[in-house]
Formats: sequence, C-alpha cells, structure tokens
Amino acid sequence: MTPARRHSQVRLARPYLITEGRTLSARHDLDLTTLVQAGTSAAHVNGPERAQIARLCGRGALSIAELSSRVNLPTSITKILVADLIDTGHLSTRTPSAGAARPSEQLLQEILDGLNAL
Amino acid sequence: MARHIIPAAFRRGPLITKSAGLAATLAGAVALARQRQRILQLEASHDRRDAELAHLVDKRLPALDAAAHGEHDPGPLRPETDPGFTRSLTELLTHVTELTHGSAEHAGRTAQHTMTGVLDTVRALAAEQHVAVNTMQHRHEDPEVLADLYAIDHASAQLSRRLKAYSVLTGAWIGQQREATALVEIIRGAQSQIRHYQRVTVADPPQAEADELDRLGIVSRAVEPVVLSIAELLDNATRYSPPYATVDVGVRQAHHGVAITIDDAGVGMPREEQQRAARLLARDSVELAELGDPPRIGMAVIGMLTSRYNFQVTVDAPPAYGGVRAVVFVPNEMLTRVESTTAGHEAPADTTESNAAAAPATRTPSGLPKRRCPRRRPRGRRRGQRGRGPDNARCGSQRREPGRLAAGHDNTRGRPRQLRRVNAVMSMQSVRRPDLQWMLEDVVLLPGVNSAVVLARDGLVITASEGVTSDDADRWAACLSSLRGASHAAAEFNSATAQWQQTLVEYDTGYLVLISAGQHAYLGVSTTKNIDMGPATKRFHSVVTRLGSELSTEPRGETTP
Repeated sequence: MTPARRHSQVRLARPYLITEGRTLSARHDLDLTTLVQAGTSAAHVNGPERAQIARLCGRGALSIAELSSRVNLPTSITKILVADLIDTGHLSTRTPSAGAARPSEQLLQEILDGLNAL
Repeated sequence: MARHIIPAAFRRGPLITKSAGLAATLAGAVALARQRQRILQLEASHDRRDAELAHLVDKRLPALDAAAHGEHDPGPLRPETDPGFTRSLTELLTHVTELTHGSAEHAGRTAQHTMTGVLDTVRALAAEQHVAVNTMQHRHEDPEVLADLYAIDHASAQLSRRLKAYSVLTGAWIGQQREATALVEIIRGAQSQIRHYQRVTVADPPQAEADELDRLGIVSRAVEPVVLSIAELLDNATRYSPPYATVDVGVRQAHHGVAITIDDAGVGMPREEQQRAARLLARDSVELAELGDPPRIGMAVIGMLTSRYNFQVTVDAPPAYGGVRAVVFVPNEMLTRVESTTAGHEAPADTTESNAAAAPATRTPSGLPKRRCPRRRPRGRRRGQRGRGPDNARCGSQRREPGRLAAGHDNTRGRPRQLRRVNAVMSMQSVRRPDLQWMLEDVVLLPGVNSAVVLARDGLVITASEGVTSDDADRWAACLSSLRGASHAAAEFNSATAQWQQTLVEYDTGYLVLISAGQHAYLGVSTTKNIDMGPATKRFHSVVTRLGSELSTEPRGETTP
C-alpha cells in the first residue's frame, strides 16, 4: 500500500482540531524512538485524543512511533499531544538505562550489510 | 275591425295583391326582428366569450402560475350560460397545466442529473485532495509546513462537507462509507468540518458514563449522515451566535438511544425561521428552487438525511442559553459497541494470530518472526527474492510517493515516468500490454480502490495496476473471466434481450466491479467498503472508454522512455 492509500480512511477528527492549531511540540527532546509511560498525575485528561494516548501508555511504555500508528495520527501531532501530557504530568519519558550505550557504527554497518544481503 | 277588412281585401282583386305584399312585408319584418334578436344574442354570447377569454388570460392563467404558492383556479365567470365553451376552456387549462408540469419536471430532472454528475466528479477530486493533504501531514514535521497544511486540510474538510451536502440535496447517495465509529470521533469529525471549529466545546460526560460512552459507536452506514447532520447544525450554531460565544455539545444516553445536544448562545430563531426549519426537517425531498438565493441548505439536507436514515433532529427544544438547542437523536438500532477509542485502530488480536498461522513465510529460515509489510506482503517478498538491494526490499511506499504525486492525473506528463516504472516493476511474462498500466492509475488513485486488472475475454491479463504481482494478476483475471461468463449466461434470467453491462459483487470487506472495456476486454476493480461508489463508477467508466479506444488499436511497438 502506498501511503496515499494506507491513510485512505482519513481520520474524521483532523489534526488542526486535535492540536488546536499548534504545529510545534512544546518539548524538543522527543523523537520517534522516545519511550513514554504513564506519569504521576491522575487528573482528568482534556481532549479525547490525549485521553486515548494516556490510556495506551497506562499499559506500559510505548515509543512515539508506535503511539502514532495506534492512534492513527501523524508523528508530529502525536509529539505535540505527548508534550502536553508530559507537561500536565500524565506521562513521563522513560530514561534509557545506563548500561545501554549507543551501538557502535561498525555494528550498525554490519547489520545494514546483513540486511542488504537478505 | 280587422276581421272585416281582410275578407274584403280577399274579395277585391287588387286588394289581394296589396295584402299579399303587406303579408310579405310583415313576414320580412318578423324575420328581420328575429335576425336582429339573434344578432343581439350572438353579440352577447360573443361578449361573454370575450370576457371569459379575458378572464382566462388575466386571472386563470396567472393563478396557474401561482399554484405553487397555494392559489387555486378561480374557475369560469359564468359556467351555466355557455357550458360547452367553458368546459373547453377548462380542458385547455388542464392540458396547459399538465404540459407545464411535465416540462418543469423534465427540466428539474435534467438539472438534477447534470448537477449530480458534476458533483460526483468534483467530490472524487476533493476526496483525493483530502487524502493527499492527510498523507502530507504524516510526512512533514516542519512547523511552518504543517501550519500551511492545517489551513489546506481545514479548507478541504469544509469543501468535502459542502459537496456532500449538495449531493444529498440532488438526491444522490451521500458517498463514502466508514467503519462503525465511536460517537466521540463522530462529534470531533463534525467539528473539524466547520469554519469556526475552535468555538465548539464538547462537554465531558459524567465519570460514571464516560467508559460506557467511550465504547458507544454508530453503525457503519449511518456514520457519514450523522457526521454531516451534526456538522450542519454546528455550522448554523456558530454562524448565528456572537463570535465570542462558545457552542456546547453534550451527549446524553437515553432508553431508546442517544441524544446529542448542540446549544448556542445566539439570538435564537425568529418564529418564521423556526417554521421554515421544521418544515424542511420534516421533508424527504426538496426542490432546488426552494432553497433561496444564496441557498440555505442546512436544514433541507438534515431533513433528507433523517428521513433516509431514520434518526431524528429537532431545533425547537427549549434553549439552554437563549439561543437555539438542536438535538440529534440516534435510536438504539443505529448504535453499536465499538472498541474503546483506546483500541480503536488496533487489529483484533485473533486476526493477527490466524494470519500468522496461515502464512508460514512470516518466519525467517532461522525461525525468527519476520516483520510483515502491512497489506503489501506479496510485493515486498517478491522484491526481496529478486534481491535488488535494500531499496527494493523496503516495505516500499515512501519511495514511490514523489513519482506518484508528480504523475497525478496529467496523463501526458505522467506517461514517460509511468513507462519507466513499468519497465522496472512489471516484468510480468503474462501481461500483454504493460504500457497500458498508467491508465489504471486514475482508478487506483481513488480512495478505497485496492487494485485493478484489465483482462481479455480468454481470461488472460492485459494489464494490472501497479503493485499487483504477476501471479495474482493471472489468478484474478481467470476468476474474473469466469465471473463474466457466469454473468453473461445469467442475462436471460433478466430478459431475453438483456446485454451484460457490468457485474458488482459485494463482500464483507469490499466490492468487486467488472466492466466491459473495449472489444473483448474487461476491467476488474477491487475496492474496500470505504468507497464512494457514485463517483467511482463514473471514473471506472471514463477509464474504460479510454482503455477501449486504446485496446481497439493494434499494440504499439516497444516504447522506450
């Protein structure tokens, strides 16, 4: 499926509505692989899409990429919502454990070669 | 005295002649008098007829013209004096009435057909644009680009809503069918489609009902009608209330269904407006001429939708803030339980399981689960097997996108690019005319279309849309061929002279459409349920026409870009 058709069931609620017209995430430290999990706040979450994300994260940590696909929203929009939820204390980012150093460039190259060879 | 005179006159000869002359004169005078009387009578009758005709022209014909506004034929002036004539006039009038009605109806029908056709075309384009903008929002993260896309998306959502509304008015099908959708999403969707969406607030349900409402959805066929109705009401509410006031939407569950209330703090509706609204809401059809200039279509559209889909809309409930309270009542039979929005877009777990079981190829030779390309597995695998490097082994959507967009609908411009792609992608042995693939682009670009195949009468593939593997194309062509054969054979069940035109098969997941394309060639299209059949069929037929003219010519020689 091309993206055009993968999203052919266009979500009824549109991004401009969901983000109230905002285009910039309040936090700059979020990327596709950032893991977020439930935060400490138990207050009511504003907006059905934010509530949806908060509930999804209540079951365990999820990456932004995964969240986006679950809620069928562009990642840029998901980031804006996640940033809101982090600010209200409903979500928190999970810090990577100290032992998990970044893999070396050589290892990545090997993986790439291996994938190419498949 | 006279008795004596006349016999005397008889007795005397010259007198006889005299009296005969007198008698003749007398008779002439009598006849003359009779004639004069007759003339007077005729003149009177003529005058009456003149008056009757003047009455016909001055009173009865205008009354006929104003019949739409409730005026009646005043009837002849004096029906009793000249019954034959007045009856003829009344007959004439009836005849004229029938003629005018007939031609008005004909003109109305023609206008409506034209309008439906125009709307279908425009609606298909608007849907394409909406999908394109949606895709772009998935691809771009730059805040400035995103802001521009928001603006386009918003305009395009409003455009689509308007087009759907006009389509409903012309009596056409509302179009796009969606899956059963949560009520919350439906309200948010309606909100997205109006200009002042920021002014609408959706009240949070009481905590006790929140979970229940979260899972409450509307059945597939009614989603779009309800969205459109709520959107029209929200649009009215925001238009007729001050720009600083919010419009509140609430959801109440009731025994027989669910009520969605829309409250505005506007000036309220004047009495005649309320009557107009009630009249239009109760109608199941409306003349285009009744909508005024500029046309106000909201209530008329809602009226037609509610009568067709069996839900209720009222605008005369006591208002909460002095404005208008509109209530959309959706009965239980149109409600369904959807997965809570939390799980709204996840595939049910068991489907994944059964897929995995049915497809052993989802594991690598070393036994590790292989990540599947969503809905594009055959192609990904095929490319992988051909071993054309990582670029081809990818799930393979992003890469093709620029070409796709650039190619668009401009077939002359798109063609060389498409041909290049044909050479690269379709090395199908069985495909006779890979050079025609670009023509199917117009079909597969429609939202909701999965793939398309053109086959010959013998069941062999002529061409297939991009992404269909050779094996699949072969198999589908064979199946479609027998489907055509069966449809053809069944024609006599319909009538002895029936000619097969097209076959439509419905599945729970979508439709198959098979249409004749040129001599001995057929176009088969597979679609999801989420397709707007009206414009789609039009598009198929236009492609078929082009294909037909292409197929009736000899295949061209090898084309190189």
